[in-house]
This record gives sequence, structure tokens and C-alpha cells, in this order.
Amino acid sequence: MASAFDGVLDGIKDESVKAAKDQLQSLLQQAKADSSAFAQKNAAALEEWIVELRNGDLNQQEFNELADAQRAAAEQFVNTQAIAGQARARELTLTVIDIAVKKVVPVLIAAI
Amino acid sequence: MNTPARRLSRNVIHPVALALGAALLLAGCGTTKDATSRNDLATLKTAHLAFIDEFTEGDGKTWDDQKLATRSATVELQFTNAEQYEATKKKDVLRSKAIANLHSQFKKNVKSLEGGKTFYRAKFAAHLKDQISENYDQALRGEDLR
Repeated sequence: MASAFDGVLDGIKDESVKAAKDQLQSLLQQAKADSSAFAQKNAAALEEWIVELRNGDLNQQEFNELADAQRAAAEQFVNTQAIAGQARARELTLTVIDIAVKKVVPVLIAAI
Repeated sequence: MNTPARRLSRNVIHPVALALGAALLLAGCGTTKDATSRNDLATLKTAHLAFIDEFTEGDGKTWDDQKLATRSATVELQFTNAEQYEATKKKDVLRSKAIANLHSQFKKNVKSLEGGKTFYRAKFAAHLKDQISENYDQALRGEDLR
């Protein structure tokens, strides 16, 4: 069954962000299946905020502040990882946030 | 002239110099447990989260610029004290980065409140507190891993 988040992404019809949407969905799935509780929680929170942004429960400034705070926490998380795991930790947290904030959310906001 | 004695001296001194260099490098990058540093992080977490609560909408609350200035100055002082304590010791890059990250987060919160001149909405504040709390927890985890 499609989640509320999938519904929001499906609602973005702009073909120019299709690759970004696919990448975001793929990385979020990987993060939610990862053994790291931080990556799982991070992904779930990001999905929740995007749905709330779409529904008007969060405004754009609030979303951006949350994404900033999540980025700061993710940097802290990455810094606590062993060198060998840092690239993966970065991909499942910081990269996910960047794709959402820089590529997908601007198109979502424009469509609201 | 390359006498046997000189060759011997070069072969002996070189590894010693290398070992000394490595020791100096390790000493410069040292990460050691420090109960005061850990306690500072825990205290800052409590203060930062209480600050968010104080500036979240609620019954009977009215906006007061002066109160924001006073409360933010109090927490700012706690950050300054923690940073000054770190400055008195051997430089620990990871810990300095962790505190700088948290301090930057606090400054962003203050700036956002100063700009908006309004309380945080409850739902947003709950999400924000989750993220800030997680940030401190990761910093504390970093301390525990030392």
C-alpha cells in the first residue's frame, strides 16, 4: 500500500525532477532498512515533514529550519562513525536531506 | 665522506625521528575522555531544549523581545564557558567540532526567533526538539566512544 509520502511524491508531475524523486525514494528505502537507528529515524522524519509541508501543517520556513537541524544532527552522527562507515552514513543522511531540500521540495512548494 | 659511522648514525637517527614525529602527531590529535566536557554537553542539552520550550506557543504567553535577549544571553554564556574550558586543554578536534555544531544550531534558533518575533508553533517545536535532542545525543555518544 502506498504511503502518504509516496502519494505526495506521485503528485509531483514535473518530469525534470523524476530522477531526483527516484533517487530520494531509493535512498529513503535504504535508510529505513539500514541497521543504524539514526538513519532510520532520519528518513522517517524527513518523509513526515514533507507530507506535513504538503498538507500545510508546516510552512516552508519551518521545513527549512527542520532540514537544517537534521543536517546538523547528521553531521554529528557521521563524525561519530568509524572512517570506514562514514561514506555510507553520509549517503543515507546528508545526501538524502540535500536531494529533498534542493531538488524535490522546491518543486513541491511551487505546485502547492 | 660517507664513513660507516655516519651511515650508522643516519640509519639510527632516522627511525627515532620518525617515531618522535608520529608521537607528536598523535598527541596533537588526541581524543580523551573528560567528565567535565561530557557534563557540559549534557547541561547545554537541557538548557537548549528548555529554551525552545520557553519560546513555543502556549496559553497566556505574550511575546517579549527583552525576554528573548535575556534568555538567549544566558544560554550563550553557557556555550562560551564550555568553549573556554575546551580552550584551556589540549586541542581535541572532534569535541571542538561537536560543540561548534551545537552552538551554531542554538544561534540559528535565536536568529529565527529574533526575525519572526513570534513563538514557535507547537508541532514545529516538537519536531525541532527531536532533532536538537538527537544532535546532543550523537555528541554525547561521541564522548562515550572515546
